[in-house]
Amino acid sequence: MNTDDLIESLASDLRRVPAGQAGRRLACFAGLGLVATTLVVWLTLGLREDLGAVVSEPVFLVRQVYTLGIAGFGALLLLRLGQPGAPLRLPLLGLAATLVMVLVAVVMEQASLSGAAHVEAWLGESWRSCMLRIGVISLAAGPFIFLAARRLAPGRPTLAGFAAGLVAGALAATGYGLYCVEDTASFTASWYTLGILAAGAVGAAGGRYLLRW
Amino acid sequence: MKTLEARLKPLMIAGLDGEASAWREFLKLLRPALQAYFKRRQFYGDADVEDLVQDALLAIHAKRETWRRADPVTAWCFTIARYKLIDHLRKSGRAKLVPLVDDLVLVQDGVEDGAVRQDLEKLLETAGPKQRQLIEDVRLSGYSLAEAGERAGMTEGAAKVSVHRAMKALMKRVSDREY
Repeated sequence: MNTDDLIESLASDLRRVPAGQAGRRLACFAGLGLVATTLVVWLTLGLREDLGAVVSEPVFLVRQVYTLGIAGFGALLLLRLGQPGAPLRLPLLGLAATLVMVLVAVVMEQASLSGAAHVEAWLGESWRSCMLRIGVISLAAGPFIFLAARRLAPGRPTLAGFAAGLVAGALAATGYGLYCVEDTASFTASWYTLGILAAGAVGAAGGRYLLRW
Repeated sequence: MKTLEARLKPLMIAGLDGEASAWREFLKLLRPALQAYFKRRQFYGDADVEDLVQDALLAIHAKRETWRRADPVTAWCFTIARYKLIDHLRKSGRAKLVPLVDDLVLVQDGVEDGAVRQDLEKLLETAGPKQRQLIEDVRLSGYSLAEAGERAGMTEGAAKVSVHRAMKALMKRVSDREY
């Protein structure tokens, strides 16, 4: 095809693109992903019985804020990775701040414990299944995130896939947090983080192929 | 004559608002710049430049919503062009034979880029001849301050101060001029 004709045909099938459309779509799809993971947790594992009582507990809030923070800043990172030339500083700082927040909570928690309680707070009772479950549940959010991400233009598809996986994992962890009764910051910081990272690794492998354009 | 960036940006914004004539103009302006870009990176001489130009134009059209209004349009366009070039090299299986990385670092700096170089020259013209020579020697050609000073007939200290002042003045001019 002649390049002049190409330009002509591209210009003639022009639709209006509102500012910020890519970000809004990603936010929308991430929201759907959160609904999906919450539904999966609710229908398969059920919600914890004392959910109403713990919603205002600091430990519970730290965990939910942590996973939502990773999801939010991870989504921003994905968006920026998919916008050629966009700066990454803000999402990276956000992710770092979220991590620092939970690490501070861990240090404060561990300082207040003694003896066997250290390890108990860390391992809880479900550390073996936590990571695996978060990984599996993230599959419910993954398609939404990748669908939105495919409209972007990431220069590094593998890295963008990792970010997409992080978002899916963090959304899964947020949903799983409504079931899981292991509220300690030490538990969250290790096993939730590992589950989210595992989802990120799967996302990176997928992004290599799915996020090419 | 305005810089490529200054000409492209309003057209891009109008194109995003759905103005077909502005978008046509945008793509037409971009075409020669892309041609020059790919021509300079034809490592084996047989890459089809026009195919790459069309690929890049298609991608720029399809991905136009990924441009943030806060970012320069030319940088956005040439990042896409670079992605398409790497993709092309990967597909044709030659990527591993080419010292691609070195070249890409230069691309990222943008000094190598025709459009950018043109802008740079225009900007340097606004500095005095002596300062211009100094900046080119120190910042672009890689002379040391002492060598550049000697070429300009001044001491290293004087050269350093002069380059610093000139850069500051140029920075100010750039930030005053656009966006």
